Parts: sequence; structure tokens; C-alpha cells
Amino acid sequence: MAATAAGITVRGLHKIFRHKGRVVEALQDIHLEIKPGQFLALVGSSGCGKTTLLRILLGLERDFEGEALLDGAPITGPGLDRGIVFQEHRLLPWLTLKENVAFGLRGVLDRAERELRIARVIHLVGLEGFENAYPGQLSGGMAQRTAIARALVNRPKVLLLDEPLGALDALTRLKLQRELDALLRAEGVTTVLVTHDIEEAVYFSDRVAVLSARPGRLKRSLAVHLPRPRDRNSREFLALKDELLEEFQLAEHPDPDSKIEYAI
Amino acid sequence: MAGPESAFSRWGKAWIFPAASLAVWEWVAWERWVRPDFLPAPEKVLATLGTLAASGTLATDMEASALRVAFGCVVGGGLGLAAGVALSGRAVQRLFGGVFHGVRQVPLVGWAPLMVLWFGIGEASKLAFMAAGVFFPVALNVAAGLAGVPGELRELADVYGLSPKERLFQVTLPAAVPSLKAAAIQGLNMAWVSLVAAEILTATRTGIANEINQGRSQFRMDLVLAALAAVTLAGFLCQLALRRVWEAVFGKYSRS
Repeated sequence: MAATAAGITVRGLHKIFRHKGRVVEALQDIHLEIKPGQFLALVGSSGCGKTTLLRILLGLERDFEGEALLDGAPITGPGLDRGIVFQEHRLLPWLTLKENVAFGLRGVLDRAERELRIARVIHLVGLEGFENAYPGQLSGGMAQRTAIARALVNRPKVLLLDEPLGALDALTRLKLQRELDALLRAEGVTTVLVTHDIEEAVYFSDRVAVLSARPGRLKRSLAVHLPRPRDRNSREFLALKDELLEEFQLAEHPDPDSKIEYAI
Repeated sequence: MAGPESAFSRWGKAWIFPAASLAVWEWVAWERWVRPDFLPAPEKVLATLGTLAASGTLATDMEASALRVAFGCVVGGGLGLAAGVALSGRAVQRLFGGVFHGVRQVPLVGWAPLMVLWFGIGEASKLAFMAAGVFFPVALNVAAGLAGVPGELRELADVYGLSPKERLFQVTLPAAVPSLKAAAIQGLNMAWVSLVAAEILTATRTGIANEINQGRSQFRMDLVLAALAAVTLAGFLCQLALRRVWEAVFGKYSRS
């Protein structure tokens, strides 16, 4: 059903911010290759530039050095071939759930086709029956599902997720992770997820890229080959999680040979 | 406490203070603590208002005044809206923002001598005065509302590649509705305030402030108070009507 997924190439990417005369290096020499249909998670502590990288892929940040390519063509601005879900749902409060999804659907004029597409994505996120509710009447989880539906309604080739589940309570978050995982596998869309939740990154991804902070540099790239849906308690899952946590010197089961000292 | 609010709790409380004030006024007048020609009793004011209404004077006055208010709202509101839209843009704000914020500090009555000189003592100066009164709060609120659209929503418009027209009608204006409402409410309020000022300053023979002028020259404070009561009621009803209509038309844009 989904449009053909796109590949993403990032080569020698540098991004600086100028703030009150000071130059802050947000991203330094980033190289990434994301194959069509792949799921990549970008993890890192706050300030590591992971959101900046996502905004470059989205086309909102245009002032950078290096290359950011979508199917080989430079990204010069936002486009309907890329869908985005932000941490806040960013629904328009004066529109109903259905109208909000319709707001995202651009470039399709045929009414029957519009109705069909909107109904499909609302079904995908399991919100049938709530079409006429306003965002203020929705729970946080429902609002975020609506945002996901809006991001998918144009059948994007790439889905960009900027900590989309970060503001939800723990239970809703687990439930939505499972649903989103199934949904994305069915859609087969190339996905880039920015998160600071390492478990979430391992749960979703084909590959996890770890960014270090100031300057934001690609520190580690880890492939995840576990079958889906993933068992969070499996030995392999926990091992990968620990391996990534170690990048932040936060491993729960540290390797006895490692020489990490904890300062309190 | 659970359960729905009682009717008293919702509406009745609003009447406690006016009723108590009226009772104190009545008491003071009854005991003659203040000279009756300085502070006429409530029933005297009410009787005067009744006489004005019965003779048809009140209707004639109100008609003239309401027309001026309507003019002030249409012209002042229209110009204010246009100026507000212009001032919401950064370039115009930089060019004219300082002048705008400077000029609006001057109390409107300060302009009265010039207005009369330029537009004469007749209708034109009153209308100019009122249009100016409505102009500033409308321009200010419209500019603030349009400039204050959250960055997250502007970004959303960028992401979905909205045309300037789509952006205006699908994001900017709907997001600014609460400020536009404030513009309408404050503009309408200023229309009535500047009406009375304009009519008094030009010593008008028409309109509700004519009765205030008459009351002043004849030393009849009952007439002054009756006229003020009429203005208060008219202004209040206008606000009530505006809020009702606004809620019916733009209610859904006030959701948060």
C-alpha cells in the first residue's frame, strides 16, 4: 500500500549555530546511509544534535555543510515525501481529529480519494469512531496517534519521528510502541527515530546510531538483527541495550573487565 | 463540592455588589447625608429616565449615538484591522511600530482641540474622534494576535508546504482568533467610551450625551445620571450581543 520507500544518504555533514557571537558546533562530520525501508534510531543525550539532524532531513534546516540526499537528490526544503511526528502532537486545536488528518493531506483534490486515504490512516492508528473529537478531548496517546496518521496520510517515502512517544506516560508508551512497530512493518516506510530512550531504540530499529554531544559526532553504529516483534526481556535484547548504555557509561550489568568509575 | 453549580452561584453572585451599592446610595439619599441636587436618589434618576423614554427623547438620542458607535466601529475597526495586519509584519513593525506605540500613549481627549479645528464642531469631528478611539485597541490586539502565532504551528505550515493564502486562512487567522476577539471587545468598548467624550467635547445637541450637557448647564444631576445609566446599559447589551455572536460564529477557534 505504501509508496516506495526512499534511501537516505548523509555525507560529511557539518552544522554550526551562532549564538551571541559564539559558534557552537552542533554536528561534525556525520556520515549515514539508510537503505529504503530501514529503521534507524538516533540516540544521544540532550544537546547532541540528533534533533538538528532530523530537522535537516525534514528540510527545515537548510544552512549546513555537506550532503543530505533523499534517493540521491539533495534535500532543499520540506516535502510531502517526508512525514514528521514531533514530540508535541502539534494538532490544530480548532480542527476535529479527521480535519487535522485532512490538513496534512496535500496535493490530492479528488474527494473520494481524499476520504479513502483519510479513513485508511485513521483505521491504521485505531481511531475510528473519534473522527469528530477535538484535540482537547483526546488523551495524549490518542493525540499522538492522530499526529502519526497525519504524517502517514501523504504516503511519505520517509517517516521522521522526533521523540514522538517521549511525552507519554509509561503504559501508553509501551502500548503505542507495540502498535507503531506493527504499523511501520506493514507500511514498509523508511524511518528515522530520534529518542533518548535506549530500550525504545533497540525495540524499533534495524540500526542504532549513537551521537556524542558537543560537537555532535557519530560515535557508534550498532545493527539490531532480532526478529520482530521483539521481546524486551530476551537475553539478546538486554545485551544490546547494555552495550548501548555503556556508551553513556550507564550500563546496568557492566562488563566486569571494564574500568568505569562512578563518581557520585 | 460536587454536583452542578446552582443558578445563583453562576448568575446570582454578579448581582450582589450592584444591589448592595444601590442600597447604600438609596440610604445615603434617604438620610440626606449628601445634598439631593448633588446626589439625587435612585428613584429620582429612574423617574427621569422614564420621562426621557416616554417623551421619545431617549430613542432619538440613542439613535443618533448608536449610529456614531456603528460608524466608529466600522471605520475605526476596519482601519485598525488593516493596521494590525500590517504591523504584524516585521518590516512595517520596524518602520512604524515606534510611532504607533508613541501616539497611542496620548489620551484621546488631548486631540480634541485639533479634531474640532480640522473637522469642525459638527458630525465629522465626532466620527473622527470615535474612529481614532476604536482604531488603537483593534490595531494593537490584531497585530499581537497575528505576530503571536506559535512557532510550532508556523513550522507545521512549512512542513506541509502551505501557500501564503493557505497559511493565512488555515493557520494564522484561526490561531489568532482569541486576540481578534479581544480586539472586537476592546474596540466596541472604546466606541462607547469615545462616543460620550466626543459628544461632550463638541457640546452636541444630538445623542445621549446631549442629556449630559443639558444636565450640566441646568444643574440637573438626575439627568446626567439617567443618561449615564442609558449609556451603561447600551454598552453592556452591545458587549453581550458581541460575545454571543462571536461564540456562535468563532466558538470552535477558542478551543485550546
